Amino acid sequence: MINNEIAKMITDMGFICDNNGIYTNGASGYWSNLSVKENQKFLEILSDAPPEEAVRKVIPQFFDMIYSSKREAALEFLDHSKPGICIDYGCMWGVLSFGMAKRGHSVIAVDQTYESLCFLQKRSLNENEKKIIPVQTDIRKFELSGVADFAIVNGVLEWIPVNENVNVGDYYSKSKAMNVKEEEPMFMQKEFLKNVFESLKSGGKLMLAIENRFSYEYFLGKKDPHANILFTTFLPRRISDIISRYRKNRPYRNYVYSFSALKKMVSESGYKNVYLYSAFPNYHFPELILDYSEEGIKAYKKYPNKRRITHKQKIAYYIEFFLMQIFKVKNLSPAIILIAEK
Amino acid sequence: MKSLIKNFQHDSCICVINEYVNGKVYSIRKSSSTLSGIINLRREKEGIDWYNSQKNSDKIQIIEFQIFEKYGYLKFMCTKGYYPLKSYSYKKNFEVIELCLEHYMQVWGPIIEKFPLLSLYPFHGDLSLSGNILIKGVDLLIVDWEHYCFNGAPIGTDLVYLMLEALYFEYEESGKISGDSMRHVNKMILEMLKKKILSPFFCKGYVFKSLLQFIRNNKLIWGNQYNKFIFLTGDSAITKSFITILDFV
Repeated sequence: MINNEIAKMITDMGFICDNNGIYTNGASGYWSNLSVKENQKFLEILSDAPPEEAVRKVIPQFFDMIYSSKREAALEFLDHSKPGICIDYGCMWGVLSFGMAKRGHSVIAVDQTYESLCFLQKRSLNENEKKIIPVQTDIRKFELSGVADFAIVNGVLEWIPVNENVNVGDYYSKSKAMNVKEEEPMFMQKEFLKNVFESLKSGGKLMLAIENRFSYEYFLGKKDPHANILFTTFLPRRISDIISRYRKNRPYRNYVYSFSALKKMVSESGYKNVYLYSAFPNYHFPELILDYSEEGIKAYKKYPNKRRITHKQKIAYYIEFFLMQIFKVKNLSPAIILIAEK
Repeated sequence: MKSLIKNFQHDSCICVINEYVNGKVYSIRKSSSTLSGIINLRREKEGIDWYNSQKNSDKIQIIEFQIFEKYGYLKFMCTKGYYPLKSYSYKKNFEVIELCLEHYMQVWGPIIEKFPLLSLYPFHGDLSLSGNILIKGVDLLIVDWEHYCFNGAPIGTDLVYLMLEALYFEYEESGKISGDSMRHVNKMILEMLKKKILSPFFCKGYVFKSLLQFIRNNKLIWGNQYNKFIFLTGDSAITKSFITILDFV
């Protein structure tokens, strides 16, 4: 019933439900870990095979990213005592949309990439999950007012200032120079957060996950995970921009933040009761999510990580252990999870 | 204040969140959105209920338990005053292992007395010094009941497993098993026989080899977590040589 109401609301906004069951307003856009060609191949296989099998066959490297319920851990910091409406902004293949639906909520899964939503819709049908409504549009322009109990912004905020189509693999390499005059990244991010704020009901919750600008890993030589350049996360923005233009022929726009700067930005966008958490080793597959406080960091402990394979990663982990366990420098944590209220 | 302290550890499909009041853990919330995780939460609830009923007191106090179609959670009070052990090695825990035997007698004793001829008895499934036994002086508390089975295993299986794992930790730590530990194992097994808490299943051959056989034949009890039995699934030199040593125990 509630899904019918949501569907009507989305239709009233000018969206049309197409043959694949995806609501679209014709906006174009692309952000994916796969190239357009890879996505086409994936969809071809998907038309004949069950989603899980198609993933194993064509993109096994993304299996955990798509299916692992371990990724849902941050959702446990939201209240699931009664069913609500959730908007998953930039849902991609929908791991968190499914996470929220499993917890009893109706989910509006919004993404600009039609191919990702085709997969999400096929998975929904395959798993008889009727609580997810896929919507294809530019998430920056998806405007609802006071309808959502939850908003998920998971690994999305840093991409808001990037207007071009993104295939992550290509984005890492050099791209063409952009001559178009664009708005300030921080301004765009703030406008987006305000838009998300508007979509929430009073008392609705935002869950936001993002890398920490001052993660100890970047000081140890880990590349900026978005720009794929050394040191650009923590250097002054202007210098990062110069480096990015020189190395990648494009401006530096994937702004990530420190704990305090993120809290400030979210608060300035209208939210109250902003809670911060440190995520280890990242927010994608967290092993620990600790309250960002003097007390919280005391719960830091050794944790297993199957993805810690190379010597570099192991050494980095020992350094992390040393920094967090002995010196309790929580502001150098790898990633941030933020919960805020309207 | 909340913190997630375990997320799918050992492929358990369960995430564990500690909730704090005044800087101390007040309650623990376990949740899952996978089928195997939800099954394990149910088993944990059943295990805690059984444990509490045997001890005749709510040692572990359940606050909330909800299972939905695709999601479930179990929330219980953190039992105050009990602390995890600092070392898991056999040779450093003789007293704790003896306490475990006493505790086992107290908890499992009534059911053995009532039904002495059963081949299978309630089974914790992960009785381990490494986090599942909390201690306060001469009292102890068994936690983490997610592998609990009512008709689970021959009597004594949990204790034999506890000793085997502690021996493994000792072997891993020092590259050998001390004579004192071997003698203590011997003493414990005789004590278990005397108290009738060691099933004849373990007396047909080597005690630990029988346990390994039991685990191999009942992988379903542990599901995804079967791989955590490093002495069974690991292929390092240390695990191989440890298994060889068991021929002499």
